[in-house]
Amino acid sequence: MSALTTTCLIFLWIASLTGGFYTLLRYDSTSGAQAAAHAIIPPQFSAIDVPNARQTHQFIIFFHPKCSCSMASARELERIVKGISDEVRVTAVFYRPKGVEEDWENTNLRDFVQAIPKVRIVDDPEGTMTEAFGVETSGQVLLYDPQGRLLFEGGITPSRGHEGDSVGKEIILTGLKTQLFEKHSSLVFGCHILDKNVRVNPQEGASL
Amino acid sequence: MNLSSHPAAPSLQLARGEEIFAETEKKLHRRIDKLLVALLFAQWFLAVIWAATLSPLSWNGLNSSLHIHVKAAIVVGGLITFFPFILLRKASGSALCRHSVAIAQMLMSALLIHISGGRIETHFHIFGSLAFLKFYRDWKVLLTATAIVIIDHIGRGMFYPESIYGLASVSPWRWVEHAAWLVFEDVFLIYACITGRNEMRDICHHQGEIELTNQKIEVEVRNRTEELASAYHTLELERSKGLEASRLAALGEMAGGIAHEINNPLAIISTRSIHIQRAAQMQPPRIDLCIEYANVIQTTTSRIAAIVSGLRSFSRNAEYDPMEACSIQSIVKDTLQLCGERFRNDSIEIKLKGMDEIIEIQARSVQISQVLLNLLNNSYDAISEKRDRWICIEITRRANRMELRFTDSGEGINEALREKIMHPFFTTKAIGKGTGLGLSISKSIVEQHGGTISINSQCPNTQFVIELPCLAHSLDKAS
Repeated sequence: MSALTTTCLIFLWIASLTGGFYTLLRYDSTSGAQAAAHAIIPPQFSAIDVPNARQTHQFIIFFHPKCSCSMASARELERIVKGISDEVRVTAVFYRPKGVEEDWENTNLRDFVQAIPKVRIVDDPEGTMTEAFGVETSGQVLLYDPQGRLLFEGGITPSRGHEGDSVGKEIILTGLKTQLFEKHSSLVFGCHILDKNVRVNPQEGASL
Repeated sequence: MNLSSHPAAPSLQLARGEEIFAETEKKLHRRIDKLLVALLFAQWFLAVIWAATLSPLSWNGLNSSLHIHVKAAIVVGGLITFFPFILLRKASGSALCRHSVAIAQMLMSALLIHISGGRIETHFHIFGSLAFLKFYRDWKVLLTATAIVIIDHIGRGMFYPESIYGLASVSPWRWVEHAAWLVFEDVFLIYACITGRNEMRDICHHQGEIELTNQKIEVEVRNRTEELASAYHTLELERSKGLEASRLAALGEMAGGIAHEINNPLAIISTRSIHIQRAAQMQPPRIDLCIEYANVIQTTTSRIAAIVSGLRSFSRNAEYDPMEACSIQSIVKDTLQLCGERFRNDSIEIKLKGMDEIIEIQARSVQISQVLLNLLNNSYDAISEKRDRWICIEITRRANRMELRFTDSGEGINEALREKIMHPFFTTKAIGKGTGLGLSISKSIVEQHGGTISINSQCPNTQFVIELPCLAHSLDKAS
């Protein structure tokens, strides 16, 4: 093999690999749509079925049951739960579309989250709750204070499908410890929970 | 050439050792190239399977599409493997191939870490890869691999720290902590590479030393073989000369007898020619007597001619004559014709037994005759002074062999002499009377004919036993 051919091949190899990894990195670092969350818990979901809801922080995380990227969020959720007090009420909302088979949402992700202590699973038929909270991306976290005011909205992973330290996790853990939230949002990474073309009536749905 | 004594021997050994080391190292690099490229293919395959299992699809509500991790596993994994594979085919064993494998292995780690979602456990792939690369025993390869990881950490730490550390603002020296763990492993691996390579070099130098020693031994063996061949040739020449000398010595010993053998018939011829003259001068001339005496002269002349012919035949070197079928009885008769007169003059009786049956052997008759003549001369020297003087030659058939027992009236040979008597240059005769080669050459001749010659210690007299193989048709005739 001549020196010129070798040089060309090296150049081609480096260029194609740079392109490949750049594309992968770009995908992983591209955040999902940020939630258009209300400043307070939507009234139809506040205090229903939760007598002391007003006395605790509400940590709500939304999942698309089949989003494989959200497994990283679930793992980070497990770590966060270990680091926060029992006063925080943690709820995982799992989207369930209309007309799907019975065990559609029974995935590894749901099983994993279900096994985390202190985490309450809530089914979200047809995504009414997701829609009502203005959430679009799987892995989206909304943190409300005991008065139902929004303290934080965002993701808890550094990038799409990646575990590890992240801005969102840092804000939540520090904020809950100090009761001071210097930042109120972070990027969220995951699949779209709802098909944007399908909108549901937010007045109907499950309760927190 | 004696290599060890050669002034350049140590440098020759060193050069050969280095040559073997270079060959061995090249082979090692090629083998590891093949192994690690195969490993890259296996990792590529596993990356695709893993991505398809962990994150097969991206979702948008109810709609799904192939996840980018699966696409990346196929395309990026293939690209990572492609270049080292090309180099394996075109430049296996080269430094470029080794370093490209090292880079590819680290990039494969990066891909797998991505696919696994940055799991801590997958990061161990990097440490495992460094251990694989150590197989090359080339520490520079480890540095290349480590450099790739460090460059990745520095680069992403500068431009996109969240992707590697999860946080937007990190210390610019955060990469040092990650690199330190790699360097920690590298220290041990580099040490292992250097010691492993040095051990390999030592083994190669030993091998070079052994090779040169073998060469030296081969040269020595060749020289010794040539010397042996030369010595053997000289020995053969000497043996041939000895054979000739022995034959001529035997002939010399018989010369007196042969002179008699010819003188007597000449006397007969002389006497008969006088008788013819007288018969012719008678009145009337006696023609019948003339014819009778002329017949005697003719017969006697034929006898002389036969003696001369035998003498001429015997004096010829028959070593290279072809083996021919001949009768042992005729060989005995021809031999006795040469020397019979000598024995008769000294009143040594020669008894012949088994002369009626013709036994044929494949032989050089002159050489067998020489053996007999040696035995006859020895017997003559041994018994000529004795009162009882006789020689007996008895020929018998023993299955497919002919046995000739040569006995004389001597008292036999004592045990101490029996062992030495067949050795060359051993003689019991007076100085100047015997060469000491007769019996050793006789033994050699008989053995060349596929036979044996031995002394019968059971016989009260001196008895030699010669055994020779008979010809097949001679056996048929006998049966």
